[in-house]
Amino acid sequence: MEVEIKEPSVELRDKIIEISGEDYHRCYQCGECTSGCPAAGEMDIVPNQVNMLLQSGDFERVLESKTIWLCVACFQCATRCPRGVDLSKINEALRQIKIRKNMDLFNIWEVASTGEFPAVALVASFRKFTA
Amino acid sequence: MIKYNYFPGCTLKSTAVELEKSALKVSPKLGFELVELPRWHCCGTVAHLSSDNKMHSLGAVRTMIRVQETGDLKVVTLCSICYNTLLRVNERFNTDEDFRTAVVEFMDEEEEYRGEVETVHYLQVIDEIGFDKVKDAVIRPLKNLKVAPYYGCLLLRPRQFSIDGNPEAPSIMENLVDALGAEVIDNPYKIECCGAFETVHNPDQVAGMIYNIVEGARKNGADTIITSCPLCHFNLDYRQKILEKVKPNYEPMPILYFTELMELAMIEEKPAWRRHHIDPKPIIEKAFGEN
Repeated sequence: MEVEIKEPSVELRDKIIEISGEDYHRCYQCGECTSGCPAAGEMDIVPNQVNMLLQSGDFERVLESKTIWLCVACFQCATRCPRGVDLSKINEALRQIKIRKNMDLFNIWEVASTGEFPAVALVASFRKFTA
Repeated sequence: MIKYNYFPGCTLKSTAVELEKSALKVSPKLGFELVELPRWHCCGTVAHLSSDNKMHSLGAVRTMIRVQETGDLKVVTLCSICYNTLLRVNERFNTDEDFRTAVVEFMDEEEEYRGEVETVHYLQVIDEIGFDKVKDAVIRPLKNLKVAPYYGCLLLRPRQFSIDGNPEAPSIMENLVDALGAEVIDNPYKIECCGAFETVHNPDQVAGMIYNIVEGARKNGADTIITSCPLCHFNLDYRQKILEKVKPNYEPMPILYFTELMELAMIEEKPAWRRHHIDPKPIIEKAFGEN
């Protein structure tokens, strides 16, 4: 993938690091996270690329990606990362940055009426993907 | 008989009612009884990962206060998600001073939580009792059944909350299957995520993910997969309905809770499970030696 080095928004950078408690600058692109991620095949930016784009200051591309909504925090990446970066927390922070501006992934009333779901699925989904 | 505090969580009272019923049936066979906590709360379902969100952890803290009030600090869960969430919130309570202070001040109507509750999963209780005791409780060895354990994420990760000393190659459920007399089938996908709550708005993707898990077990000869998570069960069971539609000649595989497998081996009567989307009848018949 082509990566454009951008002047990072300091405010956004600090926000991602503050909400997640993780520093993506630690990542050295070994790709362990991507090789273990069961959802990587569906992602437009694979897990290690999330870190790479964040490092290069292209926050917009990550925030607009499908990837952050495909991560359900199974912690496989976090468990295997030799640098101790918990990407599930970084993805959570990126989702929160969107959700806190009321940019829900979907309309909960429409989605909930598509089937009978276990309580745990509905509560978890609404907490992760909507405000 | 030893009594343990028991926290069911929301889904065990609805779609996963069979996970609870079978667990309550087999516990006395192993010498313990689960006593449901009074006035328990939803645990919050998923541990919130934002460092600045406290609200989503309150349900878990309240539930742990209920445990504390009983005077016995140990609590048993059956749901993998509840297990993980209670442990994570408890850890945060003990390591994040700001979180602890805010939560304690917010809940001034409650007895103050001390951060000492020990959450254990039902599988850990069995592990502690010992698989020899499990063997002794078996009245119907499941010698005709080939069973693939499935762990998913939250029983094993993050590493410090794993129910098994080896989160990359766990063996608790394998030991259980073996003690019940069934053949253990390995599945290379046994610790992979099932897609979890992505199932609500993205069912097709989840169907793709559970296809790998079911086929991984099938290729090694499994008749069924066992799990401890109500959400994994829903995905592995119900999302096969999508596979039946899109894959020609797809043969659905019944999915059991690990406690249902124990029920087959330890309880005299034939089970009448009603909450399965893929009919478990072939497995029940095999266990009872009827085919």
